[in-house]
Amino acid sequence: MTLFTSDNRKNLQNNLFSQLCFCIFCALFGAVYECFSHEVYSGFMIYAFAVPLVLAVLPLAWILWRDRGSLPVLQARRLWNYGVITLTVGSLFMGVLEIYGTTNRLAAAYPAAGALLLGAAIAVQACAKQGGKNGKDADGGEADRRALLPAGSCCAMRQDIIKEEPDRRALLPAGFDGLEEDFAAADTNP
Amino acid sequence: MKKHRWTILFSMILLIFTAYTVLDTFVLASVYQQDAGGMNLSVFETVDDGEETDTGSSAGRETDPFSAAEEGKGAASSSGEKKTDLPTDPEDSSMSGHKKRPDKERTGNNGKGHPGKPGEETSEGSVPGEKSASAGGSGDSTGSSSKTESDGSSGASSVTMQNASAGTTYEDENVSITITEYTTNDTVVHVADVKLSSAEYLKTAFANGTYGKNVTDEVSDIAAQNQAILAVNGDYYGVQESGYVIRNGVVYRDSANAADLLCIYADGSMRIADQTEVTAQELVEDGVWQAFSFGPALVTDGEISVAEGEETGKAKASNPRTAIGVIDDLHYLFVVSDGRTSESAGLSLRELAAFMQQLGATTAYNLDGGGSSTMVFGGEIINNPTAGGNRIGERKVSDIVYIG
Repeated sequence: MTLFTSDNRKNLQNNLFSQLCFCIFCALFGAVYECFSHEVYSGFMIYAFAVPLVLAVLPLAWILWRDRGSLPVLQARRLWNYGVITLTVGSLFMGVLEIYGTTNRLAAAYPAAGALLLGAAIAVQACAKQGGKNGKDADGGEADRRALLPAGSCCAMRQDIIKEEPDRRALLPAGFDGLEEDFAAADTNP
Repeated sequence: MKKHRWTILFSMILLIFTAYTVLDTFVLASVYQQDAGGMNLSVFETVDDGEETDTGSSAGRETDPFSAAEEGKGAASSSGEKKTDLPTDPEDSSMSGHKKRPDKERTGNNGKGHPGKPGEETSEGSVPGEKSASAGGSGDSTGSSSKTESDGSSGASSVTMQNASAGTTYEDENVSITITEYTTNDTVVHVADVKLSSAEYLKTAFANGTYGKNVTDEVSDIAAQNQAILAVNGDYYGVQESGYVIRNGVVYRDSANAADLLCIYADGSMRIADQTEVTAQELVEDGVWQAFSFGPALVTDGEISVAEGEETGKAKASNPRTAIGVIDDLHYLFVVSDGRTSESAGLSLRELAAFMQQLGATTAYNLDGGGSSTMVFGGEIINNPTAGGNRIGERKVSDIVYIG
């Protein structure tokens, strides 16, 4: 499981916003392209916006709304985004070919690469979750960054760390100053 | 920068690959065969002049392809009626819904429309150009009036062309062509009625004489390079990666696809074939002279093959169209409709099929349309091709079908 940090959540929110803008762009692009296509329509062009919507916007919105449980690690998020963008660009390109009335074997590379990237993202996330269960730092270095926090730091991260599952406290670096009292308070008043 | 290095790398890879794919699809030319102008005339060796074919033929093949039309013309001539319909069917009431363009819409000798002689009186709906083409003044639009055709059938080698710069007819001992314009479904349609003495005069040519991808040229230029009397755009094989390409009896591509295949045999007949059931080589051995892979078939055995409910979004759209059909042995129709202009809306496939059927086609096939639709007659473009949207101009295509 991944530690829940405000930076991570903020990144996810930025990611959601970017994907939403990308989704809207694809919808507008498809609509404008179809206007000039002499009534030749392509499903790939019309529904290209559905790829980032279904694969990125909706899952991210659900994760953020859920506000609990593990979050995707950074590497997994990147790979997933790359896969979504690849599939979307491929859909737009297929739409152009279909409207023009031609074909190209190279277009098959888009769904293949997109599926590969999505699969890699799932694999990375699964490995991250497995690493967390084994007590290893599965968070891509966040534990190291916590060690850099000044003693007695009152930053928001302290509050986030307090919220974590009890068994995750073992991941905290030894001598993390000032938190023992907070943990005791949290145990008393969950 | 370091933080986003992977994103930048991915973006560059995606951009470069997409740019290459776009160039490969639309720009980069790939030559598969230079000097692809060979003709395999051996397919004509198996043609039996007296053999009756089953598709595209009337009750028995006419040894003289002009004699049947001569009969119809005789009837029209005797009645003194000005002929405004296709030569072989002057009384066809089914054509009543398709009106000829009024004389006032015709331009002068600019290659478009029918040039009329100044001051010439014509009856309503008649074609001054066609009238002047009839030697006996009978108004016969056969193009070749009975008098001219009788000369042709007697073996005279004279060539008759009405107004060489903007002619509507052409005739020699082997070829007879009549160009007629119709207006149907708010669209101007140009029809070339072609009669041949042999299918070997129905030829095809590649752009620049080269078989390849993205090797294109304008229909008028290809026609000029091949001394074509009449030419229309072909099936634009270059944009497809599969589909049989058989030209002048030579197989250039033998990878099949799901499209209907139009086969023009050496005996002059036309058939619609399924590419997945026969190889290209087998077709040539069977006597196929030309084969086109675009489609769909419009008319088969005299019946419309395009069901209105089955048309896809693309087919329902009104666009410029090009079609080829056969009425009888060695009696063909080349049809090009305008579209995407204020004057002509264009035709859907269903409308095109109905039009071909009403012209008398027993087999008709749709070729590449849209901006590719171009008809060249006597070196002049006689339709209004739209390239790059609604701009009037020729689009470069990969191949043509021509008479020459």
